[in-house]
Amino acid sequence: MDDNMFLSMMADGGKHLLQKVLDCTQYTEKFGLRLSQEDASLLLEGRKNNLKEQERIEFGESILPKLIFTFCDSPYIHQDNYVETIGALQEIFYLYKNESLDELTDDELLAYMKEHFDGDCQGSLEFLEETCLEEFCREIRGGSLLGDDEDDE
Amino acid sequence: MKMMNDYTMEEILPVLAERVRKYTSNDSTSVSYDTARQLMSSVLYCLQDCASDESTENMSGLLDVNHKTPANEAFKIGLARRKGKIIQAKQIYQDICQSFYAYQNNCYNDTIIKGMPAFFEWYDVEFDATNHILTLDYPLLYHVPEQVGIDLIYEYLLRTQLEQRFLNKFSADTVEAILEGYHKNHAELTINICKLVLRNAIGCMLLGKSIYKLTISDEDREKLKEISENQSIREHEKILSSAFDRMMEEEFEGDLKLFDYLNHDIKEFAYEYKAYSQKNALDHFFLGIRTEKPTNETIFEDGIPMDDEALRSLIDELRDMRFLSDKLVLLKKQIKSLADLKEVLKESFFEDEYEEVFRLLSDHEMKVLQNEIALKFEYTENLDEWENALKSRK
Repeated sequence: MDDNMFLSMMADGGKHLLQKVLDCTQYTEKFGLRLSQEDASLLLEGRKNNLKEQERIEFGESILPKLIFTFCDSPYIHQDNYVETIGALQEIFYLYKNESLDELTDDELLAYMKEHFDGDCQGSLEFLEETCLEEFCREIRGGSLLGDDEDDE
Repeated sequence: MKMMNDYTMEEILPVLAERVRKYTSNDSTSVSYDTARQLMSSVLYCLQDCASDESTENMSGLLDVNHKTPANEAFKIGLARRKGKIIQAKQIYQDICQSFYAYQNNCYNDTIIKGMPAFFEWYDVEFDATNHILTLDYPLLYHVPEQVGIDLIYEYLLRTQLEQRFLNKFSADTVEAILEGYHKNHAELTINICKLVLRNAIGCMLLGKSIYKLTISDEDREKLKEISENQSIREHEKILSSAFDRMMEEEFEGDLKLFDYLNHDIKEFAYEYKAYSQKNALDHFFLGIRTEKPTNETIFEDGIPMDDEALRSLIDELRDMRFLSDKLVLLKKQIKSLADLKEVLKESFFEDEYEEVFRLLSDHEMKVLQNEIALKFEYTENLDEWENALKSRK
């Protein structure tokens, strides 16, 4: 089965996803964040490229709405940098799904990203990607974070 | 877009999406291409099982041709069947293990006794159905063509069961004797034992001997050569088939499954028999008991070396000696191993003295040293002075 087949699989569900992303605005509005149809299309285009680049495939649901709900209350995200930041976070998310060898669930990875983005990263995407997540995933690959809770105690 | 078994991509995609959800326990919206590939091949594998059944039923007119099981249903049916097949394969394996004998063959033992339990422990029919884990190194008399997953293992076990059923008719000692005749290191070979035994047994039938004797003598081979002479391959195959039929009827109570399986070898048997006969090499084909005595391999055992301190003081003492004759007397008295001798030669003797030391050595000791030097030269090319002297010695 070649990679083109996966890409063609992902082509489906475009309109449905677009609507789901636009629907997020109903919730994010209270944080002063809005997405236009053009913004949403841009983010979905970015999703497609990120998935292709990271050789991953998504069925049905996309991580994008969840990502938006998780980060919309961040003090470091404003309407001015909203689309750009969500786009970058989406790229980082897929990259570190691979880097963590799929050992982290979506919720675990998002929670870690949010905690550090708002915490020691102080909104720096570079610090989040190149320092926090890099170290975290290295530990996961080395096995020190998985299946040895007792040792950590 | 058509994929296979008349299911389109649009029909298969929801099944795959469902499998991904189950695989990730709904904890991840995305999977890697590798995982998707693995899950897709598992889906297609199970669909194939259901579809092949439908086509059989269609041929017999039992099913409405317009009816097509939805992909999701077909997958579930296929998966359930595969799970049933695993249970059946386990049962066959347990039956095999009760009387399994590997005839000292390591590959046979490793494949069936050591390897097979790993399959049942690790095989994942839900999410990695085409990965049968094992390499199945032991070759069958008639290999399983183009199958994967549980289908391959099931067929492999069925065939192993038939081969064991055939082999168990013969005394293990006799089988091992002809394997010894085939090759003295038969335990290490990757060969099909059933094939060798079957051919010898048919040879015995042709000679009118009891098949349980199994061994073929030189005299027997002459007769077998005469049988194959002036026969076309087709005629020859007929003769072998008839002997095989008789053997199965008389000794295996017309066991049809075994007959069908072993019968696959007859054609190849006829060709090889003819070829070996024409080359006067039937002794490699119809096996007898090895009569040649094992070659006299001598093993050199070195003496016990001195401890480092004693060796050091001996080296110093030898260096201080003025006359070679005194050095040789002390050498003979103190040195009990070649390891020490090599050290002493290196440290305490000089160019024109080596020859006198070499004369003290037996032929065998000399041979061991020469072999060691040849080996060292092959790898490093840096030899000590005494080693060069011994190497160039005539």
